[in-house]
Amino acid sequence: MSNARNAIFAKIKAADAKRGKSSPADSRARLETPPAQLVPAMGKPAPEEARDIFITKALELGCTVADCESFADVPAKVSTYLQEQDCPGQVHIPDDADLSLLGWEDAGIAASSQLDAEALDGRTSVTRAIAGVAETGAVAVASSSKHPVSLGLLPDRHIFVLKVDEIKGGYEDVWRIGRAAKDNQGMSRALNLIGGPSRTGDIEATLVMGAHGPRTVHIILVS
Amino acid sequence: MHVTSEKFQDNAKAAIDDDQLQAGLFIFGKIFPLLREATASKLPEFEALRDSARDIKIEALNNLGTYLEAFEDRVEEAGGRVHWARTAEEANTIVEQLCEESGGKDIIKSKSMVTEELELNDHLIGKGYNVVETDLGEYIIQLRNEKPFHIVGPALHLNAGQVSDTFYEAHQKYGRTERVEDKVKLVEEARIVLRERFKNADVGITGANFLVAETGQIVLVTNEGNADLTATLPKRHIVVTGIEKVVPTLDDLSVFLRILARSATGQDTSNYVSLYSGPRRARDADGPESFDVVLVDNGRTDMLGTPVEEMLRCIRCGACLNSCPVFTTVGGQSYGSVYSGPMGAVWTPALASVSSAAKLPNASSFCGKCEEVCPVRIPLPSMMRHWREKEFEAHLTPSGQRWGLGVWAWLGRHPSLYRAATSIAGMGLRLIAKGRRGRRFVTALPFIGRGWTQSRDLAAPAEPTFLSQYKEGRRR
Amino acid sequence: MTAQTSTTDKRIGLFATCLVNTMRPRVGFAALKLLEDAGYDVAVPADQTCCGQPNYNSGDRESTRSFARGFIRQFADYDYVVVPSGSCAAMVKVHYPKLFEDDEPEKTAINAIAERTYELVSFLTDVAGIDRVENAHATSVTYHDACSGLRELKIKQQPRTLLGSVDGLELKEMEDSDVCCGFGGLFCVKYPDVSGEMVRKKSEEVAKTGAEAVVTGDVGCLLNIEGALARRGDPTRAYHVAEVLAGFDKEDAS
Repeated sequence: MSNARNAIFAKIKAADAKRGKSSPADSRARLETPPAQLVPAMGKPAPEEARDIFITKALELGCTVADCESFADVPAKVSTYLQEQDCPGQVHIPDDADLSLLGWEDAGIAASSQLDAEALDGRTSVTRAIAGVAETGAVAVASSSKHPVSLGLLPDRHIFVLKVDEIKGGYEDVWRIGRAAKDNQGMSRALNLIGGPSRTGDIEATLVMGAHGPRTVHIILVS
Repeated sequence: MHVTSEKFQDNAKAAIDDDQLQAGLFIFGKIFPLLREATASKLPEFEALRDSARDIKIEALNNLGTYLEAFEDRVEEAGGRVHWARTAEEANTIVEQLCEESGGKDIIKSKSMVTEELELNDHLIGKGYNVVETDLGEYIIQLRNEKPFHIVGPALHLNAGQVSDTFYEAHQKYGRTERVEDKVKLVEEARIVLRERFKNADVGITGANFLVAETGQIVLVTNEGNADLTATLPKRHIVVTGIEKVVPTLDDLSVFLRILARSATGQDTSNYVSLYSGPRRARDADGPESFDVVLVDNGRTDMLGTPVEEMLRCIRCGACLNSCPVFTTVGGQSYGSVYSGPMGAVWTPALASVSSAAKLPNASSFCGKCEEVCPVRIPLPSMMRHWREKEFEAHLTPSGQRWGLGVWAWLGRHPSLYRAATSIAGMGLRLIAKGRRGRRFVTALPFIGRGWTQSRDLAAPAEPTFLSQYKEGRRR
Repeated sequence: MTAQTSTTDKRIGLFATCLVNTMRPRVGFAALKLLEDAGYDVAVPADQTCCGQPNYNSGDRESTRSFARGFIRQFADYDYVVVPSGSCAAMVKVHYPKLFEDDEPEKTAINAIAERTYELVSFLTDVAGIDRVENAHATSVTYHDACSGLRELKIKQQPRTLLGSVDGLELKEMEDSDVCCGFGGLFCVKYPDVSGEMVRKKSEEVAKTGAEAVVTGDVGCLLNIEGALARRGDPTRAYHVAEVLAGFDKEDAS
């Protein structure tokens, strides 16, 4: 359909000529070095406040939050959470050393690395994240060998393990992390900002949690 | 795009008499604007962000070619493909071919107004594909074979009972024979039924809220997470969207993310904001094997460089619909177009034709509330007036109205006759008015005035015209 | 009328508008009184007609330009043009310049007159500097924000300030005072069902306040709301804000 492409660009060019306002060189420069846009105060909280703001916002989005000292404490925290939720002590974890090397068995949890759709349906997943966003309370994840995107979509419960120093201010901080990780194919295939459990208001505008994705989102903050 | 906008008045009348539909309109007209104001008031920079958003879109449209080329290059670097479609037919054919390559027949879709505009589902179903919408609202109206009631809440004109009936009928084939009435259980039932469709789909089709030229990413914003499932589970991810969705950089995108959900549903953020580019990489643990972006023109380049170019800034938030006293009286389906409310009244004539859609830009009292809330500051009333001018130029304005306007303009050029005519009109009204509690009202007017007295009286003038009394020396 | 008791040497041309001229002449005399009390020399050019809005909003640009030219001929010589209508004032102030963007020298003349044109109440407060009217009236009113004045000319507080200064007058705000009443010029007869439903909602909000009268700044909206109230048998009166500020509403038997 290169005919279509040529035709569309020809019409764009014609409009450019009529308007006389296009500046390709400036636009290419904008792409090379993106100029900062207006970032509201909300998007750049003081670093010492980011953690508390993030927690408040995450709670507003319907997440639950727990904290612990170190990664070693994570399985116990997960176990507590699963008991509270009245769920079996079973989680699915990705191939991520941060999680796979933890003492799950000692905490009485069966950690599975099975990641196909049937296996994940209705279960609990535990994943890492690349950032927490104080501005919105969302958690940012990027697809990789350590992070299959479906782990945040198919299970009923999604537990994020996030280091306190991974909590950032706003969207721009996530973009910075994403850009820094670019390779010759660009940024990661998927960059998801997940703001709490899946929900819908499509029937009579009544908010119902657990539309398609996880019904609950739990965040374990590691200090 | 097929439109049935010429039936606007009849549709509107039926909608006004439909209590159920009016209850849905209450949510849009009353609740969403309150939520929007509440969330905007907590962001002091909201108005300044609207200015930035407008300016970024102006920049993007002024340099559309540069940004689209950059977007295309980045998508290809990421291993994806970009396809270009001038028309709905071209777009539908491209998507069909891509589906054919997949070798499967099962397609899942997440909500996309562009595919509604293209009537893509009808096309694919006609070619033997199973196409299932997965946004809950879209799924409901798909089962009912309706057009969206609102671009953000497609099924909010229905109550839980109607959804229950729809599911009861449609889900029998999946062995669900029990009638479910409760809203939570209805959502659960849809989740269970659609989960199976997600797991077994061959192709996932999404739209895109934005395209980022800097990175070649398509951006999806939802609350349900259905777009992410659509973009992740099937072997093939096809993105169908309009060429005007491109924004230059991620920093520019932030501005839109900060105003979109606030304007649409009064949320600080939507629950899922996702950026995708290219198919599954070598290092990825999951994701589709192919990633195709179909960029659709379908009338958009015709708007470039014209007075309605500004409409291309639209981010489909629906704030103008919620603020519109006409939309919140008649609902989306009255417009006979997938795009309704003020934005639909401007888009529809551009994408269809002035002759088929002239009823829409005329269905406005020009109250200006849409322009007041539009996050990208589109001067919607001016754009509607532009289409009225095109209608007038093409002699499509109803002949009675045209004649009346001609007479009025002629009186405007002959002040003494204007004074005589207004005096006679005033006298006529006084003559046919009937007294009521010391005041005099006309209760039935002929000709065009019938529209007035159909639902209200007309207070007759109490005295001769102002100009005639002034001429005779009255000053107070 | 206070703040300005001294006379000024500024001359005002009063543009009555077709609806005031034909349907509610008393609004014109109320405007005259308010402006003269404020110390201005006011004249009513005899050959004024319409601002051209019906044609403009029907897409008939050329006829509208001829209305605008007629307007200039009538009002070019005045220091100010004052209009007892937000919608007709906005037509001159906001829309006339758009009709002559590419036409010098008309453009200059139009821009100059647009700059000197004001809606009545905002003129009284913003230009004449009046913040209260000396007038006592034991009644209650609710104020409807007519759309053009509100959104194109930012008239919101001015009428409330002046109404609030009337001794004994109580302002009872209605819900959605800033939502269109459904008049919209020819809209109300081209889309009678939609317009009828809009004004039904509006008259319901008016009735809910229990105010004795609804007050607004545009005769089109006034006739629309008044007619809908009358049709439902509601005795609530409808006034132009100038009628109340000038005390003319007191002439009416209640």
